[in-house]
Amino acid sequence: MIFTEFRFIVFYLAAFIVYWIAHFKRARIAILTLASFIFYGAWDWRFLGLIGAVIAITYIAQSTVFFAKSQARKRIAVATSVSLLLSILGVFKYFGFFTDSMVSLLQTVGLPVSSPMLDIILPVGVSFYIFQAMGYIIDVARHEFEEPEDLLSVAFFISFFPQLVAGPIVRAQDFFPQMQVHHRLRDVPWSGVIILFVGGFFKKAVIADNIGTLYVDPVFADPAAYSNTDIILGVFAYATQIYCDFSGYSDMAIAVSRSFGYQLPVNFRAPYFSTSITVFWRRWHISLSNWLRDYLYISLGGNRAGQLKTYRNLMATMILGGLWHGASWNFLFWGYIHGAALALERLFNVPKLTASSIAGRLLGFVVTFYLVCVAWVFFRSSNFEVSLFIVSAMFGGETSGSTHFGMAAWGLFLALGLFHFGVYHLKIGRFLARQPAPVLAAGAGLLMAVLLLFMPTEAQPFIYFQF
Amino acid sequence: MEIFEYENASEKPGAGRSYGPASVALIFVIFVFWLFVGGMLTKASIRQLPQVQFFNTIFGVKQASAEFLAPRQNYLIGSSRVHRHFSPAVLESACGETYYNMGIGGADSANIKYLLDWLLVQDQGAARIWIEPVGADSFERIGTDRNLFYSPFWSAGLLQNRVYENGIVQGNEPLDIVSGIYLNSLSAYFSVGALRNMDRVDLSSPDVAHQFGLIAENNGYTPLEQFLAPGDQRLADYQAILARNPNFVTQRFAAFTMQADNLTSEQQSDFIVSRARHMLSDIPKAGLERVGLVFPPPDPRSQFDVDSIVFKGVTIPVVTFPVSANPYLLESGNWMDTGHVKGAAAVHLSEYFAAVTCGR
Repeated sequence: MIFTEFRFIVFYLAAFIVYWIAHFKRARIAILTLASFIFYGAWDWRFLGLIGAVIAITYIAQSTVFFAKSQARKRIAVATSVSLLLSILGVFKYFGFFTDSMVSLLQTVGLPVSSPMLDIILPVGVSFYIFQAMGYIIDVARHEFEEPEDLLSVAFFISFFPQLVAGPIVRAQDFFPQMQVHHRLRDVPWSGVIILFVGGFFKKAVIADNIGTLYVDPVFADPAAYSNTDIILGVFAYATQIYCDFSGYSDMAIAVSRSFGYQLPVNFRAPYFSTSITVFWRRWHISLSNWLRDYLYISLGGNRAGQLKTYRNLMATMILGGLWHGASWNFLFWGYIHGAALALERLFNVPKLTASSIAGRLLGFVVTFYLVCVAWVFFRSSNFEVSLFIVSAMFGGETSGSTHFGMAAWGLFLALGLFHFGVYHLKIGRFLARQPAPVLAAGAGLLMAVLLLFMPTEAQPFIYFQF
Repeated sequence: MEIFEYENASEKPGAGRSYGPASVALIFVIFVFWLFVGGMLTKASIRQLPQVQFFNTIFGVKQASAEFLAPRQNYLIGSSRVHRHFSPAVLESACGETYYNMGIGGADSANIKYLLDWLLVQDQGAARIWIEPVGADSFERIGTDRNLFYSPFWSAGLLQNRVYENGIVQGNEPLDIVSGIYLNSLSAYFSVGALRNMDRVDLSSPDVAHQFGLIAENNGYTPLEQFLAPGDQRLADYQAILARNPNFVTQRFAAFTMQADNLTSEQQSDFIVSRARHMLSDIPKAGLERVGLVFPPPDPRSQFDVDSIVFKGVTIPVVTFPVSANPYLLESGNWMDTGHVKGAAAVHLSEYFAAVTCGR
């Protein structure tokens, strides 16, 4: 069930009405938790067992950590629960990668082995809610909470459906206090909610899905058929697609959540206008960046143990961040590129240099965007060889392809870039959010009727659902 | 936690607004209302875009030929059941008037409505425009029929009839009309990417001129056997059905006849009105006076005993093809596939059509 599907509208309206009719806080939390299980079970009812296990582990872990009488016991509880959660992630996400890699290695040295006949399906959103659960357990161990939460609250925190399958990853300190508030319907900023949801819908259903079909899929399926400039266009198209897809989802998730009274963190702030990779990671998938910083980078020592260890920690964090997306050499290398760029920028103080002048900002923007696109190639390609071919073509390598998209395609991307720039810098969304909600609802209805024409006939799943 | 920037937009001076339950409900109603108004406007707009309507080459060629060839006195618009069943040559010979067959294989109700509207504004002096009101074929071709815009508003009874007619089953039983059907229709409405149909425009292909020549020569009519290759899957499918059930054709028409017999004349007329309403509702009286309805076999309504309906005070002629007057329809050998008769039977259909319509 995705936000652009019709059945989601029916599900949402039912949940919305029942939720706001209920008066008591606990009843509302129970209703949203039940709705979240229905939402998640709609993908595959078997996933409910998995999320139930994660909730149970988290609940038991937080209680154990909270009441542990010694620091050692607390550490054991944290280590055990985090290991369990990582094991779940490992089994569902990395089992195939490691067995395939092991089989390849053994076959290389001449041992007659074959892949196990075990096909494990990847539950949607598993990386997101496991990271959220792990963050909560670590926060409890860090004395961020005064008392343990009850089972219903933990279940609600982990399963809250607007952000369940693709974030934003919410920190427990930000979410649990909101459960204590008696939300009022009249406090919901409906104008903002409408703008955010329709904007997200537009980004996802109209831009991302069409660009993916028209430009991205053909280039990545057969890059050799395209000229250098058209391969670059295909990569730019993917950068556009993944941004519109993921930020569109985040916007809709924030809007849906806010309509129930709950605030989720902002996940994107025009990341492609960044003037360095350092700034890019403050503006792209912000909730994951913050999570990696708070629970991985700082846990590894952060920048407190000298320059060399800081660079090591940066590299390790970004490589693990890459692997969080999935088990493949491509994701690992994608993380490596970003980690290396962050380390180099730190070494040469690039963020300050690029921010000091207009020329610096412009140069920083161009270099950063191109580097991000190069890294996206590894993120999107089916294998490493294809990635290397495309990257080589992006830097002038020889291609035999002659397929051309034409100037209109470049014009389209230029127009999209200018539109994005205008909306972001002129704060169009903020201006619209000040208008009366009924007026915006009428405009949104009319706009959606037109946008529906441009949607592909089949709803496309969000890219980040696979992570 | 950094929250979304629109959160506090309403806290700006002079813009502090909050909405209670009734206001929130109103916001939803306003959104849905304008979504549907926008849908209707969009539908009306895309109907004006020929390239969206040209879902295949024949469509474009037929419209172009109707525009560029000499005006005819009678036009027939419909699906392949019109295209393959009515010979203008036979009609002209019988009635002494000129005819043009604008039937198009795969045409849906939106396409037929488009051609009807287009012909009415052409003012080519057509005495009569016969249309096959195919209805909104939303169940069988859910992705392409833009008449789904209407389907959520159909009555359950009407929908149930469509289900029976199309033999839509769930398990082994006819699908019950429940709320799921409405949701399905709405779902399709929300997932239709109408402009994608523009991808199918292919007016520059080399065979357009050839098609144009054929159409001009035969006034739009082509018997199906000139079109289907001997090994076509549709022919094989039909033969396989006959092999399993040699009485398929007679049983089918017996079922149609039984359906018709179970309805009173008034009910049959009401049924036809409901079927044609979405084609006719926005046409002025002067236009309605030029329209006729035709239900070629094997449409179940081809067995109705109705020769006219009254719509907005205008009497509109209706042509059906009861097997009592057209016994050749019961011969399985006269059919090419489950939906179309062979050329020889098409001549009989055309003669019968002429016999009941000449001078009407």
